[in-house]
Amino acid sequence: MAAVRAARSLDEAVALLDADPACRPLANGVGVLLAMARRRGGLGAQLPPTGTWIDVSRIPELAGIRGPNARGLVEIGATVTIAELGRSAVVPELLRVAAAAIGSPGIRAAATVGGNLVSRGGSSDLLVALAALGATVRLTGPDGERRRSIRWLPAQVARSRRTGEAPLGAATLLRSVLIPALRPGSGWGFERLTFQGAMDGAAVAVAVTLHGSARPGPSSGPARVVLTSIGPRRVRPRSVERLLETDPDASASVVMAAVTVDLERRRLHDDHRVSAWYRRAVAPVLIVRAVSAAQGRRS
Amino acid sequence: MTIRAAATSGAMAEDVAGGLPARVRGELGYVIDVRLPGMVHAVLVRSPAPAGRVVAVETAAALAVPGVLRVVVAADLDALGLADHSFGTIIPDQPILARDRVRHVGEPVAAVVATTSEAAAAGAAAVRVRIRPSVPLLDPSAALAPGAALVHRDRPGNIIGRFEFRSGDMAAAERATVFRHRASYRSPAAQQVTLEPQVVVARWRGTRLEVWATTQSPDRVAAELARVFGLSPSAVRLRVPPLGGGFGAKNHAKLEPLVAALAALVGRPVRLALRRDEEFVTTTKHAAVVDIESGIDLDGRLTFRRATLTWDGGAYAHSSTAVLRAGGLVVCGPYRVMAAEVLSVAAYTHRPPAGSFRGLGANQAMWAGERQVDVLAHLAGLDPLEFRRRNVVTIGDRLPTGEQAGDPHWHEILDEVDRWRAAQPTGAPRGIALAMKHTMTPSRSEAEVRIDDHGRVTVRSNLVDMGQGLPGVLARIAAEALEVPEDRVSVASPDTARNGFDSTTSSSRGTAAGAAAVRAAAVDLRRRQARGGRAVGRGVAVNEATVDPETGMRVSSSEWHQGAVAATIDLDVPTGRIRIPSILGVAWAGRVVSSIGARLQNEGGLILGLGPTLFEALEFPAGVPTATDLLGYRIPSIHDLPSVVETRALEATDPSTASPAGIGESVVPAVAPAVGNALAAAGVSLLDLPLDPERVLRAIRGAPARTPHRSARAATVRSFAGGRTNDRRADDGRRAWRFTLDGSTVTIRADPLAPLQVLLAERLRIRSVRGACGVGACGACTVLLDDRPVRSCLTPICRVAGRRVTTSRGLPDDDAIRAAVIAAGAAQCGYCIPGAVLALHGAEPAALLDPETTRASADAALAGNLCRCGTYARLIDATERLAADRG
Repeated sequence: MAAVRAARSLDEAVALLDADPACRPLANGVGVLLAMARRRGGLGAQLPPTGTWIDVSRIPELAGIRGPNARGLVEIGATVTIAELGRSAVVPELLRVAAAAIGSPGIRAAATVGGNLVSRGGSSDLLVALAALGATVRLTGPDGERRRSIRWLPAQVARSRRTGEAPLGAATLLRSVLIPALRPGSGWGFERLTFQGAMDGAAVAVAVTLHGSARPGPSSGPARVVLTSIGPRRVRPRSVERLLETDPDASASVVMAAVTVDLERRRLHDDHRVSAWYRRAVAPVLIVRAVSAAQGRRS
Repeated sequence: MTIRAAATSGAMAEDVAGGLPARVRGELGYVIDVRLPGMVHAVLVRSPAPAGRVVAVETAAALAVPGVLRVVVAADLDALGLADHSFGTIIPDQPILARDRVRHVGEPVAAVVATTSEAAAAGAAAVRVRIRPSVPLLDPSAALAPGAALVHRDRPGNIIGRFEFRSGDMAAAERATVFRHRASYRSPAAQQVTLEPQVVVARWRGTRLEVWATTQSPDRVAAELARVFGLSPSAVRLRVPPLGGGFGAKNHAKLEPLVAALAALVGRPVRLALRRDEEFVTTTKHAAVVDIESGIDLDGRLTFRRATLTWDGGAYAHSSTAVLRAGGLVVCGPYRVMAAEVLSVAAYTHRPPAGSFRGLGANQAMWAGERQVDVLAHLAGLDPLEFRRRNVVTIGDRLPTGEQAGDPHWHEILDEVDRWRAAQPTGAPRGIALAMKHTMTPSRSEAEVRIDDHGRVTVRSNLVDMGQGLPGVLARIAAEALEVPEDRVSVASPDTARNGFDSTTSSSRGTAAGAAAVRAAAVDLRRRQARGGRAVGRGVAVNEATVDPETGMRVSSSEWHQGAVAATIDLDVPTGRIRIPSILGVAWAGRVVSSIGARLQNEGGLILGLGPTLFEALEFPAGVPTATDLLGYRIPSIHDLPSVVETRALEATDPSTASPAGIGESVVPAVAPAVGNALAAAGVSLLDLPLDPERVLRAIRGAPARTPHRSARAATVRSFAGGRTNDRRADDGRRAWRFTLDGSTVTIRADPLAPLQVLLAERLRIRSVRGACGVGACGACTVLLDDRPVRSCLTPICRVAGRRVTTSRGLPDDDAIRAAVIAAGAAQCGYCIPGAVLALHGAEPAALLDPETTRASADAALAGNLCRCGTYARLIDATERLAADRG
């Protein structure tokens, strides 16, 4: 049987989770029911999940999109739905585009940012965009609040899948995601390759941000290139980023060469639908397209 | 995106007897809606291993689950005194429950019967099956090799069946040959994916058996039940409400003997509804390898064709003998050849059974034959269309089988393709292919037409309504013949106790056979009335395997379904991804009875055909399917619809005197070769399906083909294996949840994480909220939650408390979107359509009602709503009509 206990505040939720390590947080339940159904084989709804769940859907601190604040940070609450994210005028367009690629309208209306990041981990389209934006996750646990780079999250999720432990640490909740503003002159690109038109997991997805310089003039700012659905972990080809930081207008052929060399040394996913060979072959193409789009958006 | 009007003529689009409004509203009842007093539920325990010996089935834990009435294993069937413990319409080789040996992953080993489906599921999860595995045979060629281990001890050589023919003088043909080409073309297995799962309800009344089943073949299945249970045919009554799609998956007996046996053992009515994962191990499309060699002379005329077709039939025969024959008959195409040699063989393997799939065997055969025709055209230096013109049979010609060509219309079809080609932009790679398919011969359809004292007409037939528009066709034929308004005619659902015999609703025979039988019944009725007799008439349509007087051979098909597909492609060379800007489907219809019906059938055939062409494939590494849900196995969505879809249903010069021909499958087999030929025109020639981006890119780069990935979904095996601890008790943890449903306050007791879909459909019996995937992939369960569409299968009831839920039932009667969908005739089987209508309610009204943006808006809103019948273009048409009216 399942039991659901509602938490009215973040502190209460953490206390409830801390009191019973077997408890798990529940927002709108999309990921929970999906995981159970897939384990049962499709229409597994005949056997609902068991255990005790802490309802975090009405906790004010987890709701809403706020900002930008004085430091230019936009804060996205963990229980914000993907649909809300996609409609938000506050978040960067890259994030809206990535949100639109997730599931279907019926899924996006209920699935939450926190649920997507924690259940999908390294294969989240949202995560790849957030990582390219340099996002930080804000966590709340028994020992208070801490912040981690979004890059920290996929490894945690992967580890929890292996060990069965709570992905963010004991009694710890994802409170929000903080996104720094793109500097003036920045550009972004997002590419996603699926075998089908809709509702298909990406064989490879890539997000690129070319950040404008903090100072006026020709010098460039940091670049981020993030791939997902490609390897055991999210991939960030640093050599390509360094190239783009040095030369944000690098030509397609130069970027392609850099990506190809970078990916040669990486172990990539090989599953029944898509081989590592294919991922290695198309990832450079998608990166070049995303970089080209980002270059085109730089002002 | 532009969807141009189909150049069909004939009857108006209005659907009167087909129940279109009820389908769109979600009011149609399917087998899953059958509820009987005292009915209990069954869930199956299945083999986790592809081959092996059943060592033990431990049932004690399951019997302890509250609500579980009985756990049935094969030995329990002995108490029933069955005439046969195995079944199979063509070859009775499939055990009702596996007894000592399992032959494929997912084979039923035990059944748990309980008072609720939840309790049955909990019980099934607690059953532990122990199997001593053996090495599975997974390759049909290896299975057919001398000395191979046997899947069935009494089926030597692992041969399910074979079909072969030879015609003409092969030596002379070889001498005339200037160019020749030989290659092996492969088609993988696929799944039919009817959104309605297979469902059977059975009950006994004394020694009489009553069954409601999702079957395309009510009379065949009833006969098989009578045989297995040793009953007279009249002791079995089988009823078939409309089906939520068939596509061949529901042909022949599959679960009916087991459910009837369970009902006998527990003494209560029993319902079994398969989960989606179980569908993937119940029936599939045949994987096939077609080795084909052809020659041409200096004039580009075909001289010979040799073909060997090897089919993977899986563990049990199902319809393999029909499929291998259907493919063998058409592998040489509608062409004149001097000589032909064809051998078609299906092998037993340790994969789930393969059966019918829309296009029955012609898909795999035409993929090979029509791909090779383009190669031959190239060798001859001829345009592919000209090459086909030069070689297709015309009246008086003989087909490669040696029989008369019948009523060929290939030149008219090619004329249509030619006109389409001329209208395409230059430069776009394009391909064409013909499709030829037999119809079941011999076969028989009986119909009854009755008029009551109020002038209301009832048509009775055992042809099954599975979304192909059959009730509307039969009603129209009856109305015409009796000269009554169509709205006075109703068509009863199949019922073997009340209706006349029908061979099967497959091989596109429903329209032709049904129309002929109903017309004959109407004539009979008028004749009886003229004599002062009762206002009832009976008619029979029989197509016979007549004997060709010249050759002495039997005609293999009374009618040949004739079609063609032409497509342009847009190839993204760096990724290998294909998009299809434009596609044309042409079918010979003889007479179009319903123009919207013809359009839906042709469009649906094109869209269904695109799945196995571009991405659908079901592999069985280690005997385990690579996908068992609709997130892992995707079917075409609205975003896979080509930008321009055109269809033609060609009619005779005077359609009023012509007989309607079935067109349900006429374009399906040509989709893959047309796209493959377009890809070849772009410089990428492939022999294997699907033409997914990786396969295409490997060809572009000259990389070796991918070896099959060996991973199996461990979760699949686990889900079938049972033996899981389950701390749940079916009635524990329930509390009351109150919410507003379609304007009324309801309270329902349930586990807090129980999916809303299950509660709406099973407890509150709301017909429009269909469970079809359970993983949020198909959208058939879409409801509005506070006016926003959500997937009710992924919405726990605790999230609904205090909120507003709107189903199709709760929409206002004059809902504009639904009215537009009805006006556009945008429904076939209807299983998914209420969900699609609600999904459209999520679109921004201003964007949906603006003629400039309505298409993009509908595309986005329907992105996650799957329709296997392929109604997407009509749904877009509906929104365009709405926008045009309101804009």
